[in-house]
Amino acid sequence: MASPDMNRRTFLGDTGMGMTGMALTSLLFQNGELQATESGSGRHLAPRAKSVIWIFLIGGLSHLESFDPKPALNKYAGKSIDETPFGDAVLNKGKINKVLLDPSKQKRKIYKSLMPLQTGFKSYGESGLEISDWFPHMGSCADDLTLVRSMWTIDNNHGAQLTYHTGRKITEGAFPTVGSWVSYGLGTGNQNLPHYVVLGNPSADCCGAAWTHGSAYLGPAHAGVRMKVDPKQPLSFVRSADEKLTPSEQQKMFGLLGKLNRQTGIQYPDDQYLQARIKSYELAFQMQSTVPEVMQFQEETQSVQNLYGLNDKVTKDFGEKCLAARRLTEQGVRFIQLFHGYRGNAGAWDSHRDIKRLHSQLAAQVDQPIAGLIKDLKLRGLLDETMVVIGSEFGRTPGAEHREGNSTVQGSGRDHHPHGFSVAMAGGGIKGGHIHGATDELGFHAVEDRHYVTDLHATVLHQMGLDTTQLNYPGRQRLERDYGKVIHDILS
Amino acid sequence: MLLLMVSWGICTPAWANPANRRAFARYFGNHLSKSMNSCGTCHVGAHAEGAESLDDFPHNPFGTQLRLEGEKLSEQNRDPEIALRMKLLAEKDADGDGFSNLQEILVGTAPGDKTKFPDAAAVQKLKTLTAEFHEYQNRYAWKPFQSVKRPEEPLVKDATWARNPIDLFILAGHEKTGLKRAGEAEPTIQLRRVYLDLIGLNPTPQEIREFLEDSKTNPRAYEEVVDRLLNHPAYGERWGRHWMDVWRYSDWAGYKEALRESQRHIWHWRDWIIESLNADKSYDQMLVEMLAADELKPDDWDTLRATGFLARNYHSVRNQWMDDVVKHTSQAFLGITVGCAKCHDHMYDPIKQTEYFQMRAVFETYHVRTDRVAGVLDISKNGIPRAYDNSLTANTWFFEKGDERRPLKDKSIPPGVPKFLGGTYEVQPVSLPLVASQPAQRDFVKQDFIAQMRGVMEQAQQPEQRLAAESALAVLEAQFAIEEMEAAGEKKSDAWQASAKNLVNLQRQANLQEAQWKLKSAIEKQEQAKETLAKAETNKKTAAITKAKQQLKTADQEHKAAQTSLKKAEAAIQAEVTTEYTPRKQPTYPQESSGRRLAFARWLTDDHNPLTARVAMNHIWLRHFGQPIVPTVNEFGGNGREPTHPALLDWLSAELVQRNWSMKDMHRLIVTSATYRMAGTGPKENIQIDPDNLYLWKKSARRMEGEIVRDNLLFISGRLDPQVGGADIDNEQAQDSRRKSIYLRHAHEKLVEFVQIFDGPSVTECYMRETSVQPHQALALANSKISFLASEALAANIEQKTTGDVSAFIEEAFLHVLSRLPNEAEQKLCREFLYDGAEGEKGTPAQGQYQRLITVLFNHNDFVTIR
Repeated sequence: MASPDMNRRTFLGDTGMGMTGMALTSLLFQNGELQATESGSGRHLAPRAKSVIWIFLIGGLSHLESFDPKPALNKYAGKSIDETPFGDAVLNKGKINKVLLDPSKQKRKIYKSLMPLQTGFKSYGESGLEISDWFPHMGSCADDLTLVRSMWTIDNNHGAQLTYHTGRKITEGAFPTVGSWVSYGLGTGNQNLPHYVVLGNPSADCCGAAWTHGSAYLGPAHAGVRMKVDPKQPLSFVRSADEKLTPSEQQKMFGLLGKLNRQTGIQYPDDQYLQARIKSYELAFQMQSTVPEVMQFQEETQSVQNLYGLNDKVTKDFGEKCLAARRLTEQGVRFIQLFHGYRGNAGAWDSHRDIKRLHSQLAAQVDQPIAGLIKDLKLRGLLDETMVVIGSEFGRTPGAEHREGNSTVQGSGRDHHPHGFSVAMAGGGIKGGHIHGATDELGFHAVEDRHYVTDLHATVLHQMGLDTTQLNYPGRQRLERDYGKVIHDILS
Repeated sequence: MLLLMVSWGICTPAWANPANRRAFARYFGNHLSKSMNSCGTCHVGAHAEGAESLDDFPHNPFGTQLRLEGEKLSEQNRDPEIALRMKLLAEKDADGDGFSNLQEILVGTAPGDKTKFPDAAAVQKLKTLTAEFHEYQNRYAWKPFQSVKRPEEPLVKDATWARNPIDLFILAGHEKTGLKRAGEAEPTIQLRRVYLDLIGLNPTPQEIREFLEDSKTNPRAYEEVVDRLLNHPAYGERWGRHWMDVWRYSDWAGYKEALRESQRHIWHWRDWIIESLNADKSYDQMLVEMLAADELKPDDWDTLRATGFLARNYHSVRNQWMDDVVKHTSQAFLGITVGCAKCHDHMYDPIKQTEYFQMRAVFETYHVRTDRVAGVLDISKNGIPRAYDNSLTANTWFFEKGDERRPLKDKSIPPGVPKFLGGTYEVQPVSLPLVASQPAQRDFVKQDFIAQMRGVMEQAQQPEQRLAAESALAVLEAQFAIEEMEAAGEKKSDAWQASAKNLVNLQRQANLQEAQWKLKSAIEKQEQAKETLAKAETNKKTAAITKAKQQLKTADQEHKAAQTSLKKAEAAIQAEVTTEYTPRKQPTYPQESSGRRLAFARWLTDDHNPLTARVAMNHIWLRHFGQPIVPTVNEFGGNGREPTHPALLDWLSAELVQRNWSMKDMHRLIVTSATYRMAGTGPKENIQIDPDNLYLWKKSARRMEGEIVRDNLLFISGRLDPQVGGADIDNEQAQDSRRKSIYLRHAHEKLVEFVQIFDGPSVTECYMRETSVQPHQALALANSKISFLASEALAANIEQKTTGDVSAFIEEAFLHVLSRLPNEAEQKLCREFLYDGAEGEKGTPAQGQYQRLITVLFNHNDFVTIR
């Protein structure tokens, strides 16, 4: 970066690089240079966290068999919800419809026959947080975790995956994701890597696909950048086919390119794609050397590798993603979105049948890597400034889903459940060993301190130093529910 | 309150129910004041908690009016729909507070409560609110499930801008929203835009110069370019790839020899798409051929390639196959999700679960086979994968809850189409010609067999082998002759008897010759094996000895078998001659086809089918403007989104049908419109009103698809191999192959990485592509071998032409890559780069600088952008 060309950069002629000071603004080209149209310092608040690791389990994690135990389900197992003392409160139609956006369109049978918990729970740590036996490693992090047990969402089908990331229903189209707001609000923490990195495959077309890490009207520059977690080939086309080309020569080429593109910017001042492309070249140039470095897991000690489960084929895949996430946060990447459970269609966690077998297998794939990540961050003193959020588009029904015709799976699964579910969080100024909110006795409705998914966004943004209510984009109207409300109770 | 509503359904007349409330809300849309979307609008005691019957919840004066109006309509045997009742009551004043019902509903002051009426501030707003509501009421009604009625062209204030009716619809939107449109794009921009849109290739510098020159005198210069491009063979490739997205083209996918999805040689279907588009085969005809060419033209293999659409849906699991074909046929052609009705009635559209199975039954009878092509007998090498009915009566069972483990086998579901779309579905079985049921009867197949046998004969090394081949050839010819007699109905005639006996003789002879030749070669092999064994034993190599012994054992067995065969053949030749010859082994298929798919295709392409033309035009529009009119291109139903220009889409659909479904006509109409020819920037104020350019006040830029990026790297540098059609090329060859990207293998786990990085299509479904800007794209363009080769070739080519004139080099380079000349600043920047610090910018730029400049231009934003 020391070439005279680059040093001669004037004013805001660069985009992306050194953009921290000009975040939260829309960019326009004037006289060939990008200009901020609106002043504003990126941060509204003193930040508590520097990075967010946003882990998403595709398909719908059962809150009942992870973070929100309900002994009543064992007590009334096999009984109908009507036969419990809670029937009236739980089955209140108004309450059920209140959650769903456009309930008349979201017909879904309510499975009333209660299914007992498919796994046990234990109390962990000094806090005594209860966590299911499928997540023993996360249990060992209990004193660093906050469990929010009172989430709700507006869609009872997998379009809720998009909702989880944007706050909007899939039929409303693409809207900025929480990661893109972080990118827009703060710019980059490292000029050599993207602000917003995506590891793993997002959901399928039905459920948002690339929109779940998109930036919509914020412009493509703020969309998540997908990366492969493959130490052997972390980045395609990472070396020039021109073997004689030196990095400094290539830097000059990219320098000319940036200037030529800015010339075009004079004519098309509001072209977000052009802005994004200029930035992407500056980033790409740096990524040629930085990305291969980030993905060198062999630099880690054996014990660290084992902590993430890299030595076990069940945990290796997700363990590598978690380890890559830590290495990326160390490089200053602001927002790292991890997907687990891609399977085309709805996602692997969608256990309509055989939940005991399927969920326990999936939990085994993520439990140790996630716990390893939290522990590793803590050991390095990074947990304070790194926020880890583990969630899913919705929970699963207290009642057993009855699929007729096959005795082996009859009533062995749980259906989608948007009325109450849990997320787990750690680090970045979040309380440890803390429980916030509650569902009713059957785990059906979120009843105490209810939170819509954007409350989670607001909280994440708050810890990053951003006030959600001040995040706006010129010419775009945000709805009340887009902003969300900070969950102050969980902040330490 | 809601509990109460449930009880209404039981004890009250039909109109007092939640459906009424929804109808009420729908009638007003966004114009209904929030406080009016409540029971209290029509009833007193809006919060009558615990009310158990209507008596606890009586109507207020407005509700009473509404009810009485409903009763009146019912007495007149008219539908007491809320919309009509509201129209009749809008100007009345139910509560007598001096404000009409409509006014109060819009402002939000209960129309049935005279203590509530608009205050002064609200009165101020009344006029606007009423005007806005009337405009909403008069909006064009989007009814995608009803046949298209050609809408009137809208009246606009300033029609002079319009080049054709498309512009009137767009202009009406501008006038309504107060948008000021962009001017016309510069000629070079228009030229590049229309080239890339219609043929996917940049105009050459010469074509640009000619166009600019021609434009000076010829007012139709642009239109003439359009005509030329529509006749260019690359048009079919460009639009072929678009339609392949929608029809989800995939080369065969499987592991080793296994076939999991699609079919080998499916590229014949791709070639049919390209050829059909180039020939401007009508859209409706293309659909019919894709779904039922085997029933429409059973003896025309060129057309049969079309059924690759059905062959592509092949899946090794039959239920999955049937699911896919129902799901994607309905989404691609009709823009409805019939697939969602597999487990239950459709949640958003009037599609019954049974109708899912009726549609499955349309396809239940079909299977896939591969027919030979001329010159290739081995269908694993080449052949046409095609659909055919292998049964007339295959059963379709209704799966309870869509669960294939729970078929209801008491009744087979007959084929049918979703009722709510109208039209008729009439199945007529089709009887097939001989060549369809016995494709090996085709002349070229027979010729190929004869040629194959001649080849064996000519290459025979030994007289016995030659004799055997000669006999076999004689048998083949006699077989063909007798098959022809039989086909002509001459079986059992005297001539046939003679021929049959002759054939039997020939077959016996051939068997004998064959057996003799086999025996001879067996003996030779045996001797060879003995020799090898002896050698091995001399050398005392254990492994070699074991191997040689094994060989000898096999040879001994073959010898024995050959002796047996020979004895049999010799015995056979002594027996009395009969007419019972051995018929030729050839694939034989049913002589009749169910006609189910042809009937479906006819229904689908009926001019009155409400969806087919609309869905097609929406796809075409998307690919000219980067944004569709109905935002959800594969979902026109209740779960989709509303169109931005419903009247325009209806007009375009009516036009398509009227123009006999000619796609080229529609392209011409669109690209010659003033809307299409607009510049990419317009007045800044518009951004406040319509930041997404939904109303097309300018022409939005689009990014080239990955295939087009790659194709242009090849084309601009003069490296493109323009061959049209042919077998798919290994996807791993993408960096070296000079063929267009459409010919590279595209299948599950066999994708072209370079194309995928630019948001290439998913194999399983891709109704609309994403456009991202990612650093990976920068690396692909900057570092790939194909970019390197392109810049190398183009730099050499321009250097040769411009012979040391640096400014001329820069100009030519811009023209080639960006289709425009550089401005002064750009010229200067490029000169500085070329000389890189050389004083006074004199002499020849350093080695390799020219090529690097070209690489920079290939990485320019506007290389990958269609402005």
